[in-house]
Amino acid sequence: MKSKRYIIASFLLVALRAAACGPGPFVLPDDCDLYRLMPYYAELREPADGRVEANCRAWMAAVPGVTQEAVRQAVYDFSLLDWQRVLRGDDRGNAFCRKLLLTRDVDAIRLLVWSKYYEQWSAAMRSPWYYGAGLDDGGLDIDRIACLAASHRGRYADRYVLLAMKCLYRSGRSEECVALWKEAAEVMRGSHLRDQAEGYYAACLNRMGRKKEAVEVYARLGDAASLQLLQDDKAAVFEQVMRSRPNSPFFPIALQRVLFVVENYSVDNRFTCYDLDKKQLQRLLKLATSAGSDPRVKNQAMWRYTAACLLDHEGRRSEALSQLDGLTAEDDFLDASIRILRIYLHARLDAIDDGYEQRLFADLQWMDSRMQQEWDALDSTTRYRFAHFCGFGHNYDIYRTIYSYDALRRIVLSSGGLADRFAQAGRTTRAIQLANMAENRIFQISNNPAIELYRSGSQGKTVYYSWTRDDESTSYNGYGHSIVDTDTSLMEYYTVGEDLFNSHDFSNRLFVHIDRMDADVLEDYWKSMEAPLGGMAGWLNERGYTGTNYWCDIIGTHLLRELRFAEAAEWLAKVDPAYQQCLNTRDWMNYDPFSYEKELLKRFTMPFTHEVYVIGAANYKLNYARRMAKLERKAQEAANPDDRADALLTLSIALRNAFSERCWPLVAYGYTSYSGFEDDSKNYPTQWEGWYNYQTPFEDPYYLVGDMASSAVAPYAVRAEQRAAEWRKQAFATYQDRDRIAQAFRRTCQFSHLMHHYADTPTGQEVARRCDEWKDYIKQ
Amino acid sequence: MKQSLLTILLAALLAACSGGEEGGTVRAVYHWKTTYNPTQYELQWLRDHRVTRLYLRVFDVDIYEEEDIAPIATTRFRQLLPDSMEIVPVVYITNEAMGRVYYWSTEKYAEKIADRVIRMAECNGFELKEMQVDCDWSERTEETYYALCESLRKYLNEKGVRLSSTVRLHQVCDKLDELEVDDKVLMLYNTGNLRSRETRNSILDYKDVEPYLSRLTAARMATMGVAWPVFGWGVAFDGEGRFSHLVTSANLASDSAAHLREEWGELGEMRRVWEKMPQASGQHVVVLYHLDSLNLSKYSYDEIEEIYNR
Repeated sequence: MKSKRYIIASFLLVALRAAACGPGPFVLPDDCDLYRLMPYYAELREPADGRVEANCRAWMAAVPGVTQEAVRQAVYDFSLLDWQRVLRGDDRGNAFCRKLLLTRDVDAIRLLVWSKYYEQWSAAMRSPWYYGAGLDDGGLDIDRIACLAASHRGRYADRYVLLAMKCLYRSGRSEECVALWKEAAEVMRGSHLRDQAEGYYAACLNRMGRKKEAVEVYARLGDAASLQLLQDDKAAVFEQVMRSRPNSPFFPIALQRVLFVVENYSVDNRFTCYDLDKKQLQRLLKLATSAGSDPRVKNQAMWRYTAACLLDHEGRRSEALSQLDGLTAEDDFLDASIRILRIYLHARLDAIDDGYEQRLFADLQWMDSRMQQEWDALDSTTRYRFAHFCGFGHNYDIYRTIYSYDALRRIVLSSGGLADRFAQAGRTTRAIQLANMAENRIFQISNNPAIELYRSGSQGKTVYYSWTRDDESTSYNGYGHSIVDTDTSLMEYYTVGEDLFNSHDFSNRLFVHIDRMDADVLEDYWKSMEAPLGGMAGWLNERGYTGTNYWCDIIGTHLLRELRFAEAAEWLAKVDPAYQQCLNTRDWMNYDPFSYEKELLKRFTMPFTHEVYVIGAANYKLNYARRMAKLERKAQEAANPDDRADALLTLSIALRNAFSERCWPLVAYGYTSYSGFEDDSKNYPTQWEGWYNYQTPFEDPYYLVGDMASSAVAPYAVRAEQRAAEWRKQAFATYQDRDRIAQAFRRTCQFSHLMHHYADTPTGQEVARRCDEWKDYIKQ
Repeated sequence: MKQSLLTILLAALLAACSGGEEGGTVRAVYHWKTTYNPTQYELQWLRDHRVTRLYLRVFDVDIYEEEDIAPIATTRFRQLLPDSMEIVPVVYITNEAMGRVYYWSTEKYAEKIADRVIRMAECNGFELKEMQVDCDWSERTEETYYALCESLRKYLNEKGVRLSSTVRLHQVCDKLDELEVDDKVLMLYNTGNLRSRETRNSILDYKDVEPYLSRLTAARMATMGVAWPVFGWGVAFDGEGRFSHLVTSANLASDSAAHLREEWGELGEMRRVWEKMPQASGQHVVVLYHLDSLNLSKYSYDEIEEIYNR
């Protein structure tokens, strides 16, 4: 009983210490966003209200004979640098620029150069590192632009006024901006830019403390996004704007904000900058539902989708699904969002059966292609970042980038998601296949070279690969790998250092799932990899990580947990001996599991000092499994009862060691044992002295799951302790030779009992002669 | 006779060229406020003591939005900077911020810091010859700080700007010689344990400096300027002798703390320290901390001169 308490207490101690230490950043699938009306961060851009198209048309009217594509490229895609070249006579291969140069349209060229300057300056200003001055641009100055643009009354006067108002607003010169708006009222009348300019006017009014006037302007403009920030009653904002401007271009941004807050913060959370209470949400739901069928509303899909999200948030999933019934959207992203939400709702509602599997297969195929599509659309900097992450907490760096990837993780890996539901329905192989795809498919799509190298366990190996970047992004270094750019070519290389390990595959949610599964379940999964049953199985397997070493090591380890040593040896024999170096437990595979723990404790002051790293650890798990299997046979078959007893005693000792702090890597994996932490401890001799939590298992993700009791190994530990006690009892009952019993007592450091009952044996005599052990005897 | 006249002229010319560098000493002072708006007293003080270099704190770098670091408390300029003085902008980097900088991202932050300082110099009309970084780096952050300095120096030197770093007593060790900066300034203040009731004077006490004196070798001191304290404050403790708060010198009389320990940078303690320190040879920087009339008025003209002339 005491021993049992010891083991459980050890686990808890370890777990609590792990919790205190904390992991690197890690985004749980439950935290991945699902409700998206628009791509990530699109709400930071200008609303898609057709203003771009209107502006292009206005340019085409002013500069006839050019296509809309040429105008769009020049006005929206070209940089300040491009326009500075245009200024010097280079048309940049663009027909619109060429026309401006040919017609010597100085007003237009200057306007566009200044506008680009403003955009660049405005973007730089948002950085906390910005210091209030212009850019390095040879003479341009925002104050000067504001001044000149404000007084320009020639061609494009309305454009110049808008530019001036932007500059004044961004420079904090609100009074001047308001004055300009009033002064230029005639210029702006009838202009397609009027509403935009008035928006800046309202922003300045608000900044000057004239909130009421600002609200009136925003309401007139239908700018729900701005009103949201000024009014406490968010639902009233939507109701108010819906009455006057049912197709306000600001609705998507405003609604996305609501959905983001709903999904990421608890309602009635006064700590968010955007309070939403339940009553407001109810009103919003009502409004969204009615707007979804309001003939005045053009984008009904957006409202129905919003209503479905709000219903899902309330747990009314069937109703949410009804909202989405037959729903499609013209906008590609929203259309995909609708389908994703539908997949999610089915994943939560449908019975898990063959029919559902077939429907799910079609959905997954679509999501897979969607991930690829989103990947293809990423810019080179983001792709570069994606292709360089690896290791524990990796997904923090990449989430909120590819929506379909985040959504897939949420659908499959979140609490109560498909992996859980399939497992509960007894479809464990499918559960693993789904989890595997959700966690690992992205590596295939992004063609991440680091992860493959880590999985190969080739320490010190350097892999070169080519990567084309057209930007100056800083080399991104994820957890646990080195990246160095060469100067001359775009070749880069990864080197796996000796102190690094594969931290990804032992920290993700797939691993959390499989770590809680029995060995038989994992064996079944392995069989499905070798001979997949059905097209879906093969398709999923192709999109997961199916490395032999990884799976055989895990299955073997699980068999060790289940005390099935002979089977464990078979599986572990399939693992490449070098693979041990990939494990984040490898540095703690140095204690001899077959010796009694007190021997070490007696010999050394602490069990976790470097002095005890004395035992060669190659094939650590395999050797253990083989020897345990052999001992089991011997305990059964040896002719001599004392030999059988010895085998039973060794089995008992080795089993307890495997489930103790000493030899835990035999049955468990560590999660947060990233290198570097050990070095840190040197710097905090007082604080960290005696801490060894980085050596221990059961850290995150169990920590993140928040339920220590569900620790994967704990139930097996209790069972193992019972078996060890049985073996020990059985061993002492089997001994016949008194001296062999005395040896057993000595081996297990029970000197007191030995000297009281077996002092007459040769072993007892020897102990009596050895003063150091005798001292122990006296103390006891 | 001609030769003597030439010598005198040459000496006079050299003296003129050296500006405020009297006897090889660069007279300097720190400005450690968030607004640059010196009083008449302070401006006159600068002139009276022929101060030629102003180490001007321009912003701090601290943790920003949990995961990143960013500048805070940027100095605002209410007056023009004097043309007659060399302005050395100082960036204070908190050790917490340093702890958030990954080793591999030091280059990125070095450029951000330097660019911002360059921009501030341009906007506020001073010529940038040197920039200083100040950080109470610890063993944990030392490697990153060194890397940051290396990147900063490389970046600034390419633009013809020198980099200096402050050094605290506890940071003086063999490793310090590897710090890649052009100059260093040893801060000889805040040497004691502020929070301890037992401390006599946390600003400067010879007893606190003594254990480090052996590290202040002649070779090391030859490359380091020294900063001395010309300020004071009150250290307030509660009834149970626990540290409570700091009291500015202006509020010493009005604070109602249970126990108040008034501390000043004492000249006597400075004398005891510099008597044991290797004498600086050649040009060296003496910086006073800091330009504040309330504090400076507690020191006589001669006392200030003695520190500068030490």
